[in-house]
Amino acid sequence: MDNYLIDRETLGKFVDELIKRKALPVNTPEELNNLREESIKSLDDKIGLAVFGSLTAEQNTEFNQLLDRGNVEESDFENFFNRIGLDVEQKITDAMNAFGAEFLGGQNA
Amino acid sequence: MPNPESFNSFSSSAETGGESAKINQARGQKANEAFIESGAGDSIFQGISREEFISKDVSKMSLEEQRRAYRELLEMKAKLEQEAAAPATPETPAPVAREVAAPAAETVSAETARATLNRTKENPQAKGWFSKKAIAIGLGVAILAGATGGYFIGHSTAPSPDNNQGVAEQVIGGDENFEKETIGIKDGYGEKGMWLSEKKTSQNAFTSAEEVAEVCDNDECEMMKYAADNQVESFADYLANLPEEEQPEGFKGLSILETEKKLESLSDEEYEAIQKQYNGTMDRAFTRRVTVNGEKNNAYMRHKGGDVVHENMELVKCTTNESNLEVTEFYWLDENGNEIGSMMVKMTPVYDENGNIVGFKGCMQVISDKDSPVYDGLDEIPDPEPGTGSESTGNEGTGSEGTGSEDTGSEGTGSEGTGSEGTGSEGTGSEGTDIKPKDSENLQRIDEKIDKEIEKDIGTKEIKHNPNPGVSEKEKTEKPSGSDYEGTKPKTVQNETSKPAEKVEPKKQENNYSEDKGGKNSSEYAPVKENKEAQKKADESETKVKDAPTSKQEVNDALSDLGID
Repeated sequence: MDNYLIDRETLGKFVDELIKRKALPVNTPEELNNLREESIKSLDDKIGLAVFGSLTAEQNTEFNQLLDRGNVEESDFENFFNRIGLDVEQKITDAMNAFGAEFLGGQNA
Repeated sequence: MPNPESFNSFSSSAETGGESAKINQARGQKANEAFIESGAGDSIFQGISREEFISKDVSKMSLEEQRRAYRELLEMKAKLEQEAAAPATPETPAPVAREVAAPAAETVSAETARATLNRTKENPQAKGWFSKKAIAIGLGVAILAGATGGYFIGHSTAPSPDNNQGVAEQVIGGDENFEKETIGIKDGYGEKGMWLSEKKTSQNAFTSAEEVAEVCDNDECEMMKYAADNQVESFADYLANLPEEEQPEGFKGLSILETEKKLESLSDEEYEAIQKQYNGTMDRAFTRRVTVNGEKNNAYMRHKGGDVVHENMELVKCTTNESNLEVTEFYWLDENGNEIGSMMVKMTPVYDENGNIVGFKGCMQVISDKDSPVYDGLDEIPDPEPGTGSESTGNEGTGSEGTGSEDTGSEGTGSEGTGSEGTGSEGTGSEGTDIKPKDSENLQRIDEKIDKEIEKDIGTKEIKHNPNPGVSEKEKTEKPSGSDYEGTKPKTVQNETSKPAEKVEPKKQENNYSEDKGGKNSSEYAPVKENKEAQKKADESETKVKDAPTSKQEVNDALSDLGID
């Protein structure tokens, strides 16, 4: 079963909005569904890589140590990103905007 | 965005004096000239100087200028990054930006980032936190006014087509311009998210019959109620296409568009009343499968753009060319069992290998005759799936149950129109209709077909098909269960003052006429005394039957013998 960083339903809603706005080269519901699934995975990847690609080696190591902790809580992640000064929401926003632009064929097509 | 001024500045790490400083300065100047000569910035600065551009009020730019500027800034940034990665040569001096900017800490490689990402996906707390961040951003969509592909998220409301100013603010930087609120999408239009179903066959479909069937446990009538409840456009389509006898008062004879407008004008209480009436109508409906061919009208959904809310959704008309499309026809009977009318809906049953209905597919629009007036006033769109013949079920082995192909005789009669009036449709609509209740020649096959369908349809409930048409809910009484039913009991009259019956003594007979009790006229009543002698004599003179006198003389002689004149 595919694993996602962002809740799949949330990603799906976003992708659905894009799909509505673009004529797609699909002929069957199966093709549409496949395209949708691929888009969801791609979007999730882009978001994840945008966030973790912004970490330095030291920050990356620290984050992995956080994951290794047995009793980590969501607030720990909040504190971590606040401390290193990385605006995760902005990263996610940028990634989704970029994905949307690419999906629709250019930001200002 | 790179700071244009940095092109003319020194790196903070450069020496302030000496040969190195002079070399750096020369390099910087040369880089500037190279950049300008390359024309990379020309389009941005076209017609204006860099200083003018920097100082120009972005909000006063035209939309096109801003789009162009943003795109080119991104391209410039990407180009600079590429050049920074390439080895510097005297012919192609490294961009000054690389030299002048303070070296930032290196970020991890893509492989390392991916490894961390994959690990994070295994951590539920991390995933939950990231998901909340994504939701907090707001997953509504704002489409650039007039843009064919422009796309942004995060703004609370979609910009109006004329509000280029507002759009421009979204385009150029300004995180502060984005309001992080969710745009009003209710799970994809309608609480149940019908219109955004990923299983829809086309964008214009009302919904996916497959998903609605899952919710409604494959009950066709419930599916119709569900779709109407969650999408007012569906409700309007169904109401307008009902037989007039089943349409609510005030909605009779209206077009789909008129019906929708009227529904929108109702108060909540009035709307609920109409819904309740409609639900009752669907509860009384019978269903059958019908194969459709030829040009038909459908009402489709269209999203006009902007937020996915009711105001931006509209019904449009679409003419489709159907070929062996199996649909579900709902029909109603009056109290005498005569068909009142019918309505065909694009809901095609899906069968398993045993012929059981295990689901439905289709868009759940009503499909009706091409000349039907209910589509008046709607804009028309071309068939989104031309030439496909819609959802033919001919390939499904069990799907042929509902088509005329199994009924070898009905196709001929159907196309000839014999007995077709019962179906409520004529012309191309009746072609392929294989069940004609009024066609006596098909009665036997109809019975067999119904029996087969009942056998196969495990989930069939008698109530769905309403074996008591014309019987209102009020009239229906609950059948007592075996344990409750006590049958009839003899009536007993219990008298509290009753006593055991008294013994009745036989009454003495007061008048005994066998005794001579005397009396005034006693002499007149000679007691009958037993006279044995006379009796004997009578017995001896008794004439046997066969010797009985047969003539008058013989009778007189017999009487004389007895001493009787």
